[in-house]
Amino acid sequence: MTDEEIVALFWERDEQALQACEAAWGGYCRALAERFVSPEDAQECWIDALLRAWDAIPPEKPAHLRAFLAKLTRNLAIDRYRAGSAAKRGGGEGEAVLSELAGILSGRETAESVVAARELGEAVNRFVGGLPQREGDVFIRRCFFADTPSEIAARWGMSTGSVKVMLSHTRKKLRAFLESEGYL
Amino acid sequence: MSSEDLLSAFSSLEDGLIERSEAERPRASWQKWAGLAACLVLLAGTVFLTRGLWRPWLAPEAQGYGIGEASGPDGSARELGQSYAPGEKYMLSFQPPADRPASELIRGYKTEEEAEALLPRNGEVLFSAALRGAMAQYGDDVRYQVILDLFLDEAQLPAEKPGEAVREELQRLKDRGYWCSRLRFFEGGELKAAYFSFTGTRRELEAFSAAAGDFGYLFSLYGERVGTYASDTVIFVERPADRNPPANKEEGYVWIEGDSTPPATPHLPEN
Repeated sequence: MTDEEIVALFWERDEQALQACEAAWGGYCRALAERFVSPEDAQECWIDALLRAWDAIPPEKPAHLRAFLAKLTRNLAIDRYRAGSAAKRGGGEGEAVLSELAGILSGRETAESVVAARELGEAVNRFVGGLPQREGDVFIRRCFFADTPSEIAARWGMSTGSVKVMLSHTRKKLRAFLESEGYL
Repeated sequence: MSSEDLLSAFSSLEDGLIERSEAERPRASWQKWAGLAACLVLLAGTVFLTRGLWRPWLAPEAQGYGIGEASGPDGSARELGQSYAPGEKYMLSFQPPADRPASELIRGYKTEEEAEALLPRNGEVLFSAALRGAMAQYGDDVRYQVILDLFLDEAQLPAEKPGEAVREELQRLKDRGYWCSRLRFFEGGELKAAYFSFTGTRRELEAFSAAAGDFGYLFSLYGERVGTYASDTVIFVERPADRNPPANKEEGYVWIEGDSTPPATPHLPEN
């Protein structure tokens, strides 16, 4: 079943849409969530994401269902990650990515997160969208999917060292961008 | 704002950007054929060299000049164009600037990996399989002579007639510590090919991304690109002081353009 057909089922309020999502993208989204939380929590995040998708479609009509579901699942996983104790966290690459992003802020964290959340998301989107394509893709693989540098290197035939250097370069660019936008 | 806010912010990426990052590198049909052709050329070349079929056509002093036989530092000093015995390690000593330690220079490496047609996109830095293999085997204790191909919008920019943008990019790279020479190969007085070349350590090469600009960058070992010229022609090295090719051009020589003094160590990132 294609994504378009699955979305059509959502619009028809046919519950087979949920089964079709599970078959098509369940493993994909759970694997993404497991970068941040435990497998048990990842499964719950995926179920919650399906329910949110059910509520959102219609009126929404996602052109990229996989990315739409991945974002919902990732959001829920990160919420759970933030709420959970260190022991309950996945402890995997999500932790490493968070540490790298903390390096961008380097002691300039503030408590004004709620106000800036939506704007910050738009700013990050603008920043990544403005990068050269491969650099942007590498940054997304690292920061959205929490892929390891070696996984990214294997995906595009790069050396792991090259990926690490590119990521380091991009993080510096992001810091400069956030400063110019007044977030830092 | 906290680091967790920043992590969450990536969930606001457009669906299209996320989907784009899922895409594997597309291979145009011509690239598959190019890969196959490269394999056939490699196979033919291997037979040609290992069976000694090439010897009758070479001058005596050039016989035995082999490529792709790197197997470990041998410590021997060689000059460009000097003959090599069959099976001898393809490696040259390198006279580094006074502020750098002496090291071996790796110019060729035999890899078992399938030949691949690499096409870097803008901002992307790729290494050939042979260069990756050599760096994995020899690590940081040697230097590598590499050929740099520049691409823009996935089209290769010719080194034979570099345009203004290419010259500016080379100058920019030089300012960042990556000093490129332009090698030009002549036959019968005609320019047959040109390459951008420089030497670097593995760390310097792997750190290149930090210096990369808006072009696509493909690094190969010298022997991969120039081997066909190096294996059956006598090669001369022209120093930059001799700006113009000699009047009595001989078949095949290397012309190095640029300054004679390499810059200081490239500006490497701290991690």
